[in-house]
Amino acid sequence: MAGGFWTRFLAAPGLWLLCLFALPLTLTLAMSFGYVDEFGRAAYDSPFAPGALDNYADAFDPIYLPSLVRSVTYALGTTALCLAIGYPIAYYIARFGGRRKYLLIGLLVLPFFVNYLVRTYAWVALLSDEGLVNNALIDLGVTSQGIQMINTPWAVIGGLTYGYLVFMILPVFAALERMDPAVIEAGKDLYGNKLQTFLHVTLPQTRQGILAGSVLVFLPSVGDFVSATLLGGPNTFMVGNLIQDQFFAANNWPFGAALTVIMMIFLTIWMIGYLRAAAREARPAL
Amino acid sequence: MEIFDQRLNRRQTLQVGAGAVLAAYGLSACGSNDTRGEAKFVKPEIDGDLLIFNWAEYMDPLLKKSFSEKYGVEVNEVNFDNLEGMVIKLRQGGGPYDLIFPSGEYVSRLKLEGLLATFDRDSIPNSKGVNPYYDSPWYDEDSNHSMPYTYYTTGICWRNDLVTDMTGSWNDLTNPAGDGRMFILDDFQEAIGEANLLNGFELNTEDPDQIEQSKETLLEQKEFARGFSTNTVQNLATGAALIQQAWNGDVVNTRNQVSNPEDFSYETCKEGIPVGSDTMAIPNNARSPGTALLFINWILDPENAAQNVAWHGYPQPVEGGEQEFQKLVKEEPSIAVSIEELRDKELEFVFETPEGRQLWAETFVEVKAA
Amino acid sequence: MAEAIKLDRVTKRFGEVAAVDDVTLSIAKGEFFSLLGPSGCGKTTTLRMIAGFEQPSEGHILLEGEPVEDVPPYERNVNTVFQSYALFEHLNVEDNVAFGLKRKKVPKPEIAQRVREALELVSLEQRADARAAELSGGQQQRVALARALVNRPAVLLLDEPLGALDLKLRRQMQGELKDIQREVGITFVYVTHDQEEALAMSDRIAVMHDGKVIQCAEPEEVYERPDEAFVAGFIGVSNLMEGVVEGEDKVKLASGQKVSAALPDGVGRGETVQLSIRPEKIALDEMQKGMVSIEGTVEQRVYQGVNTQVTVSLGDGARIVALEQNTYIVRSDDRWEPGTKVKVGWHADHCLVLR
Repeated sequence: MAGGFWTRFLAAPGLWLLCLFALPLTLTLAMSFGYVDEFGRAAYDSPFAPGALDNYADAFDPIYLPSLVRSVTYALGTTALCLAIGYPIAYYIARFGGRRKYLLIGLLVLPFFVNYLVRTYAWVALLSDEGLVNNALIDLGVTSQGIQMINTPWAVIGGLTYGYLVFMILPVFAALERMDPAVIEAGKDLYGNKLQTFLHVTLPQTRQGILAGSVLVFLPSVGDFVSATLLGGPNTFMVGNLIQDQFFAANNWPFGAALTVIMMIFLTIWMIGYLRAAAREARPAL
Repeated sequence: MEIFDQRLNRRQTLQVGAGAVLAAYGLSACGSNDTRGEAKFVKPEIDGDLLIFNWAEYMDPLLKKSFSEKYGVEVNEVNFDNLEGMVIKLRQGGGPYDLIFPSGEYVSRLKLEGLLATFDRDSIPNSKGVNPYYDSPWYDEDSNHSMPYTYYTTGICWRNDLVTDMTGSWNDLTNPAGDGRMFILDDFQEAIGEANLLNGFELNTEDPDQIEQSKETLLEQKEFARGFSTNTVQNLATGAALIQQAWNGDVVNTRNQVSNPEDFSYETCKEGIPVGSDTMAIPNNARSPGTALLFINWILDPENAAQNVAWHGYPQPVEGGEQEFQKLVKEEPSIAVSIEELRDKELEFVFETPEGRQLWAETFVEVKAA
Repeated sequence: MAEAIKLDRVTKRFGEVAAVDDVTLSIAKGEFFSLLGPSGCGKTTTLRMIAGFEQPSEGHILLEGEPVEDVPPYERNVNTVFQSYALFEHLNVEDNVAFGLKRKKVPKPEIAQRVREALELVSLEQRADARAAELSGGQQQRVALARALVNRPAVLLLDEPLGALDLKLRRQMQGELKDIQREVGITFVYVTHDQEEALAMSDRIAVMHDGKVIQCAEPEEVYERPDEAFVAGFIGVSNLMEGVVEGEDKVKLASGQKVSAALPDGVGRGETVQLSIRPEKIALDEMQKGMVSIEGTVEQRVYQGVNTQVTVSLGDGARIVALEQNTYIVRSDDRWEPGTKVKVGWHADHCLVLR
């Protein structure tokens, strides 16, 4: 009877993984060896058929290299910004939030229930030439005719930062929460002033959270296309846009699928790097 | 383009198995009739509630309401945001939808795939008001799979209060007065198309060398661009764009939204302008094809057409619709487009081969990715 | 002897609650001083104020004669050994110990030298490269101690440093701590709730209760002559019997028996008092000359190895507990069957009358 229970108990998540992860992944992989038929439909093909690897060969065309470099650069910038903004927020709430800290974290997370696309649209309204920010700047006399903020790489990075900030705040907050507050006191007790204690005690003690947050921000940022689509300009085309265009504009699903597979392999390498670093941290050095 | 050649070779190997289909495509492209299927004709009669699949904000909702009240059926609408997505859902049997709004080019593709229902245009009385140009459009020669919804031109909209020295050429996209405030439509056909025209090529050229040259043209234009975007109304109304490659209907809408409509001019370029048509068609798997056909008739009704044009800003090639559009654009005649222009220029986007389409699409991605 | 720490009428309030209430203490240089009391008595708050983690609401704290109200923890010449040790997990043992010296910008060769000495002092020189997480509880405790001592502070504050260790290790560490303190000669302020630990190690003990210092004295004094019923009950085990003063040196117990006891000054006839007698000071049947003696019935006998605990009922619900040593002469496991009548006696000067 117990076996029956566990079978049923694990059936749901198993099915979930199968339907929402393994199946689409397999379909994407299969599609990447396919071709576009005469009606513009994506057709599957055997990976051993002649030309089945064309899509992969195309993907390594140097013409796409700038997009990849741009994506990684933007994602790294986004990660750095998320850390610079998210760490102080998490730190402030964890250390000084008192009984309200979970409420504060809840309030921070709340906007993220709104669809990312919608939130990015809000940034369009904020950053456009006649948007709220520029109007405020003009009213304050900072500038006479507004500053072009939208359609720039900065706007894209800003959109990404806003979009994924919470993925930095939560793990850093968790790491700060896990930390024994006495450790900070020990730092001060041992003649570290506030800055020294932060740099030599708090920061290194929360590096697991920083690492996790960085991965959680970096991975979706690299593959993002929404921010570049809505906030970007002529020179902010990212790998995510490339893939999206293959599916919805160029109507070349197989090539889009091949790009997706390559992207996933690329991201998996980063992920493995992270997991190994995390494991090294956790394993006591002998 | 070595890669492209490889692709062609691969296609050739495939052609062995897909010969019949290719032949059908080839015949169609040469101007012959579609010979596929012996589908029976849809009759204009109420056979159930209606589900419409359309672009967002592309039809006066009151027309759905009045139709619903008159015929006692429910009219529901869902939206797509690009034609590719529409086709994908259609292929998967989504909806099932009763009425779709493909462009001319997509009508030809969907027809070839056998995804469209056939009807006799004479069975709906308001088809008599449709401009004779659409008696036999290139994409639906017998005019028995689609009825025209709107038509449009692609040109350049510009701020006449801030930009001078416009020359009436596609070269105006690189007018220094619009440097950094210019948008190119994020649409591979429109982008490659204007570059082809500017270079003096056939609009629909599929010659790889010419396309390569047009790519260089686009890369030069990109230096002046603030982005690739189809959010024309937003770009113009917020002042982000001083110069924007635009569909004429969007210019009408922009002028309706701003307090200074007189500052927005539209020019149709001397090298030629692409013109296009959106249509109404009934998917093969529609649940209520009869109701859908009745609804097409409803949209083609002169009064309804006028009401609709006033709402969405695009000309409809049907009695009532054309007159209303002329009223809308009388202060800025450059926005107007006549059926005669369509007939004379015949600058509609048509692909000779699927490879050509692929080449265009990939070239545009390369321009954006560079 | 010079004064290391002076607390002058220090009060610390958290909202309405006074965690520390008007405490005045003076701790001498080189002294092993314990703050003893149950949890919530204010001993840890007192320690944290000396360290600088909390500021007094009222009163002053002086370290080596200087007021330290405006001195942040990192500028105070005191170091703390935390209850949780609070070791830096990202550093190895050596770097943990060197942390304070590096912040003080001590020259590198001197740091190496002093760290080595500190690790030798706690017998951990073999584990200098180990990470904190790899050490046992006792070893972590020593690292925490070395990390604090290496700075040669004027005062070392220890917050229940042995609380997390098992009994045997705790006993061993008590001895080591005492030895180390003697060796380095630094003032130790030691917070604990374990009265045996405090008695065994301290030069002086301040017993705290509800934020107040109730008694501050040497261990024998605190044990033998507790000032209040609370101290008598908290330090060791004590028989507390309620009674009413009948007259000159006479107290009538609740059970009706009258005993003689030395009354403290100012206690008058009719007043209710507590008689406190340590169980080990009580004799059963074998009376000595001059003992106060009353009758009772054996109620329970619990054999505890080194001694036997006998509970005697005095009637009317009043009880008294006696501890009898199991010596080479006597084994008490066959005596004091429950129900046996017995005489209970003590010397009058072992009976404290508490208000």
